Amino acid sequence: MLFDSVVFLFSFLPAVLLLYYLLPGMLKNAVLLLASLVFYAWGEPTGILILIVSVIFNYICGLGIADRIKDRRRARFILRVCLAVNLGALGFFKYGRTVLTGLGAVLPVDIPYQGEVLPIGMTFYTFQILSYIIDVYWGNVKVQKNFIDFALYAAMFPKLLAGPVVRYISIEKQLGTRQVTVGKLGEGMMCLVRGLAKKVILADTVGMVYTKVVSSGTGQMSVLGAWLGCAAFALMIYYDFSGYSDMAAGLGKMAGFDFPKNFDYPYIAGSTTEFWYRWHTSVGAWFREYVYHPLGGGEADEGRQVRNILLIWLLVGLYHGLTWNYVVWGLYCGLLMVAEKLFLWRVVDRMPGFLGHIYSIVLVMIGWVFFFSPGVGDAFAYIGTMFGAGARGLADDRGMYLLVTNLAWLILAALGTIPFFHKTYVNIMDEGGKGRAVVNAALYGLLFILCMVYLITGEHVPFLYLSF
Amino acid sequence: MRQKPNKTGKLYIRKTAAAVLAGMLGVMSLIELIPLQKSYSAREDRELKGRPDLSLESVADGSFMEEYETYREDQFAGRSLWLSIRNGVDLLAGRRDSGGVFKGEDQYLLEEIVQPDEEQMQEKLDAMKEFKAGYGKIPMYLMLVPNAANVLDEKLPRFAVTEDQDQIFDSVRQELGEQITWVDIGKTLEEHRKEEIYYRTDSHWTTRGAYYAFQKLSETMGLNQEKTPKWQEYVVTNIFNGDLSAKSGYGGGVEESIYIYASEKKGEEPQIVVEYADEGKKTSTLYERSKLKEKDAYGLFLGGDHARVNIRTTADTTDRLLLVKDSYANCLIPFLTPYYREVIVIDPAYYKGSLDDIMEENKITSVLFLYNGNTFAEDENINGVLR
Repeated sequence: MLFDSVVFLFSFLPAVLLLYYLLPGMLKNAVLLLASLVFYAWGEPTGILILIVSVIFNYICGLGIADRIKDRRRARFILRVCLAVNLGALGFFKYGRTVLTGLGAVLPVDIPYQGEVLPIGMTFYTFQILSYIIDVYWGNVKVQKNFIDFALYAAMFPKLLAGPVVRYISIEKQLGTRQVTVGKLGEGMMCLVRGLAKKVILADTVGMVYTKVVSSGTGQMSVLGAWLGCAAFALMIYYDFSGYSDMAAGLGKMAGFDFPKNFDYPYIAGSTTEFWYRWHTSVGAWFREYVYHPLGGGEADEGRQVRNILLIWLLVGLYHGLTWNYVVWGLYCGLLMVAEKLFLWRVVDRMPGFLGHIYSIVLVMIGWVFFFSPGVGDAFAYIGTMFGAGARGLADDRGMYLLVTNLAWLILAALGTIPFFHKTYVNIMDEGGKGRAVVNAALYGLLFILCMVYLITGEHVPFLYLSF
Repeated sequence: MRQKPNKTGKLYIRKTAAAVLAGMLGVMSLIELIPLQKSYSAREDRELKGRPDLSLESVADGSFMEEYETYREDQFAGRSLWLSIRNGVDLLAGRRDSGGVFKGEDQYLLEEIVQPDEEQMQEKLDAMKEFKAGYGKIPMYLMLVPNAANVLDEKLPRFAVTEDQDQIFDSVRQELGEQITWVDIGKTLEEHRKEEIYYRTDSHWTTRGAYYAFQKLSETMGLNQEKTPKWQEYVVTNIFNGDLSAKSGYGGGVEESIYIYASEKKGEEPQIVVEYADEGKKTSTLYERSKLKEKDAYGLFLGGDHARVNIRTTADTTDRLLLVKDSYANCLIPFLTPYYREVIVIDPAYYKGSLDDIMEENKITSVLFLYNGNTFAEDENINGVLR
């Protein structure tokens, strides 16, 4: 079940909220857990079994590590088994198909087994489960003995499919006690509507521009068309993913949870390093905490740091898929970060603010080309087109038509990437007063209606990150 | 409360938002509980999904859930209202196409040109050539009608580009070679582009467009000009609003005319008997006037699309034509009647039999394939009847 579906918004959500608010505190977690299982089973009727088995396995692993916390050797053994099982399962589902297809093409024999399809959300789920297991091993968190609370953390529907990657440590307390108030419901509803609007209105509209551009093929593109397509993708992936995160955060709020922020206006960054600190922050924090720091972090000598940054970016690339374009994309981002760390910072720091933004945006956009292209060769052809090589002129009718007929949305989407408008709006509203409260509610109400319009009449592009 | 106006203000705003938004969610969800079902959306001209059947297998493989989601969306309360709002918003934001239809100048709605799938097109043309090879002496013709966006490209919105239909037609023509005669009406229509040869709100050509094309067809097929009656144009309705208007949501208020052509003098045209093979219905006219009152008034011609229609005439000839066609042919058929004793009209989209049987049984003397470019590019049925 996806957040931007009629079934979720107008059947599942109201039913769950009604039950959740009516039942007493001690049953709330159980209701939420049950709802999460229904939610997952709806989209993954077989995947739900894997989820349940995994939750039970990791629950027992957590208990096992905690029991032997003093005996480091045995605790480490359980940790290693647990990591191996979780990562092995993830690797099997995530890469099995690609590997088998690759082998099938190389080997002379036919492999009848084709591998499995990755159950939705498995990557995000694994990240979160590992944050718990590792933190229990490190003694950062207490073991969760209550199975329902544990299972709820692992499978909570707002964050189950595509994050944010909520580390166990950050909502440990909330699992036991949290405030469920009307104010939070309001905050959550507003957050949900904002996220929905980002997805169904902005992301899907600019996404269509991107799809139209790339469907014509690189040979048929003008410079304008190539930049337009790339910009449209940059906006689409931002609104798609941050919209999803907003919806998740809003749903969490309604149930009383506070999730960490996932996007912090990345496109206003002054360097690509800053961009990645502002983009998908929850997964960035995860990699820093559980990969970068154990490898030595910022304490290590420069050579190691460089190696570690590149290693992490390679992992980030592979996390998106076992294809060369993601590997190149990851290394591209990693190398830029290393360059900025070693010497480019001198240049970046001295640049006037606006130049820094342009520098960052352009380099990130070029990175996106590797991300969205089917292969590395296609990516270079596309980038070539952006700079005139093999392009059909500076501008052509196809590019102009897409630009002119979508200009309003593109401008709106571009403006939305800077914090000014939303911050100003919030400042005005926060001064309080009945009038403002009514105006605010009415504006959000209208936005909600507009979302319904797009939801019903739209093309239904699934969230991008569901496939990762 | 006065001490902390700021905090109270924030909370008050959140509570108000909670009341309004949760209220809207609740009301919408309650409305959604009302079990109203529509099976067809005239606005979009498509079937709406009904409630899927619940079964263990369909739940286990997830197909129930998928279908149920489509069903809920298709049956969402106020669907046509949402569609109108969407169109308004899109138009305001500068969009000039919707549902594959351009909103062009002078109230013209123009369908996007379809680029055929190469492999499928090849199979289709191979099947046609093979069919022709089986009937060496019987002449066969292919008439592809360019779509409005091709002929009236100056009516397209600014900067709009479509696929190149001329090029698509050229490659079809080259592929067929000499075996099947190409009826080249591109130039003919081009010459008359300033006239009303395409409807503004419908995907079809007008009867006038068909009339001009027929001149060329008649020349190519070498029809006996002595039999040609003096055709006269008559208006049969002035309030036609076609399928593209429904498909795109644009041009709802536009009303246009439908013409038919009849001979000036009575008796110049042959008498006819039209037999709708599937329905077992016989009439003496090529027009179904009752359709003029319906939404799809183009159905006036031959009563819409049928698998097989047999037209017998009193024309003084033994020629018999097999017409394999899409709906574009419907308004051209009247022009053909004076030259044939019998015209067998087959629409492969509905006809499930084989053309070989018809060729033999009805002693066919010529075959005409008549399609508009888009349908021919998309069609997957021709191969079936040729086999």
